Amino acid sequence: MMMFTKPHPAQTICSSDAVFEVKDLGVAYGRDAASVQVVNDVSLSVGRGEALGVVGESGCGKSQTMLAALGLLPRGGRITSGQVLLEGRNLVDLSPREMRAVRGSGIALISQDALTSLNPAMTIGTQMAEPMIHYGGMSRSAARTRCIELLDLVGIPGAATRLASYPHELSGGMRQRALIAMAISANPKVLIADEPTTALDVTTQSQILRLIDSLRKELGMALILITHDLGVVAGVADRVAVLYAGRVVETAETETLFASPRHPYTKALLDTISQLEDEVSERLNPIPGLPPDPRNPVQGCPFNPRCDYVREVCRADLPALADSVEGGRHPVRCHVDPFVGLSLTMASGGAR
Amino acid sequence: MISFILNRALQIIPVIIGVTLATFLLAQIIPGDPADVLLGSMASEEARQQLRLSLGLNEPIYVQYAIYLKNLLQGDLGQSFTFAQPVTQVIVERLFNTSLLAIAAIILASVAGVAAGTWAALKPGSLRDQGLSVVVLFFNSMPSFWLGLVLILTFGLHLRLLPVGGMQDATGSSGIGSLVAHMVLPTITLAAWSLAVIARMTRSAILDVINSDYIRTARSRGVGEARIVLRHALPNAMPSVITVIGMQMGFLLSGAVLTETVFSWPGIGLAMFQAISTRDIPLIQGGILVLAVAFVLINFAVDILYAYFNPKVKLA
Repeated sequence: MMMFTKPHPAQTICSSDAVFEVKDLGVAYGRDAASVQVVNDVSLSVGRGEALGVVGESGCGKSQTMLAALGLLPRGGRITSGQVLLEGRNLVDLSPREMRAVRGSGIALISQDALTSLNPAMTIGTQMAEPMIHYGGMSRSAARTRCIELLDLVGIPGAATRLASYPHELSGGMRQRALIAMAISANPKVLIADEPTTALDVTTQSQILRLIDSLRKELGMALILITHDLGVVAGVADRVAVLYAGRVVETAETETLFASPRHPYTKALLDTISQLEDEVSERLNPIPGLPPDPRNPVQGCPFNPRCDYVREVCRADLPALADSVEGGRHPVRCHVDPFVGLSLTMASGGAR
Repeated sequence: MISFILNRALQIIPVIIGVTLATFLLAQIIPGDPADVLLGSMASEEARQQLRLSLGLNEPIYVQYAIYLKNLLQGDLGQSFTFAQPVTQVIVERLFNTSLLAIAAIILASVAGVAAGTWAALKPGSLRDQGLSVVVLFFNSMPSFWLGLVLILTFGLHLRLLPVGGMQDATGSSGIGSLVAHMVLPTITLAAWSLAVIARMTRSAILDVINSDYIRTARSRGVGEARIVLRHALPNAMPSVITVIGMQMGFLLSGAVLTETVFSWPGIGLAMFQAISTRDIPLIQGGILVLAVAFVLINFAVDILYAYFNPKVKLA
């Protein structure tokens, strides 16, 4: 198998050389009886210079996990359990002031929609330079030089004149580049890209993905790429974690995951993209049903109402995230796991 | 920006023409013959005819309007019989006093309102936020003349801290200190309602933008909460706050009628009050015209400020 022939820097899900780690994280909204758990026991880790893809449908807890890690959960949200470790330091215990210092230089964020993610009332230059001047102790002219350097780095032509532009004066691709330049301005150790290409057209998407990937290699950042699109992950991520209903359901190296998905949900996600690649555009093959509402958790495995392989046990018990086959390198949260791989080879016959 | 300002200035002209038409028609709509009002019901029919002729009341209505406009352009708004002076003179003398009070009130209302609204928005649902809501509700529900009377009773008559009427001491000891002392109570009275509206608007405008993606971006880059509110949220909340402040400035001018009356403040408001009670139509017309034009000009200034705070408006 491919993954045995190709050794990788981060071989286990909780490697000791991880620069950034989320351990058993839980996130909930509301208090007491009205409390809604949106993230459960999520553990992720990413090593220096490594790229981790976090994949799942809308509302599966991808963004909530990352916002919790940054200490930026919206009002009402709170971390109920677990740790967020940046170079071994637990961020959950930090004071707001200490956490502020971690943002930007420790962990940086690229958001989904660059138009709404840039302050419409400030020029690009002013918002780029703000943390450098007011928190990084840079002079105005030094910050300006640095901004031009960063805009050059992300491929914005005429960087010096662009500093005086307002966000609405730039094209979508340029805005996303400016947002990336802002995110990397303090040399973060971890870059979280939350659906960085969703709002862009297809050509621009691949340019932006290539840019993020090359910056990661150039600057030695760890990258966490959050997306609902496995196709986006394929070219960039070294490893992939698939989230469903606030839980990690499968983690593997990217090639392994694409070659032999073990969770029915991962398999269904792959089915939605493989059709596009084959250019057989008869019909899209969406996953039937909707992800569960976190206010009404599903008894047993949360995927059981939509699963083709569902059995009695799936409706009763939540499966653990475990790996019985691959020696801890491809854990999956599924009762029917071995059968999923089996039926994949038979599925070409036309089960679906 | 210059072409934006010129463009807006051109749009004002038809509005002003509309205002003159409205004030002109006001005199036509009000029941009763102006000759009756001016001469009294006991006057002879001949004297009335004479007056109608001299006022041009027998001419067709569009001719009367043309005469009105011609006089207006020459600064002639007619004669006020209450004050036995030209209306223009009555208004010009009092416009300064009213402006003084209105400007002081709008500054107080804007500064205190924006500050209070921002302060409450920092912790929505907290004790201080709820406290502000109560104060806002109180300020918005009580009539300004009542607040004026309560202030007069408390600070003027009871505590004897501040003068309660006029602009200067009766003893003639004038000076800036005396003026400021006389301004305190009317300014607070006039500002209270607007202050509450501005505070409420600021609070909700900040809460609207505080959950924006760009606020999250700024936070994710390590920008502190004070800068988040003052440099990111407040400027983006400003357009809606400025619109409200502009509208409040218009209301302040009309609110001045009651406040000036309660505090005997010699401004347009007090003159209008007297004009209305004596059916001094030319003065009412002139007062309304001046207040309406002031309202239009204030909105013009607000538009310019709006464009300044929201760069996108300039494109439109």
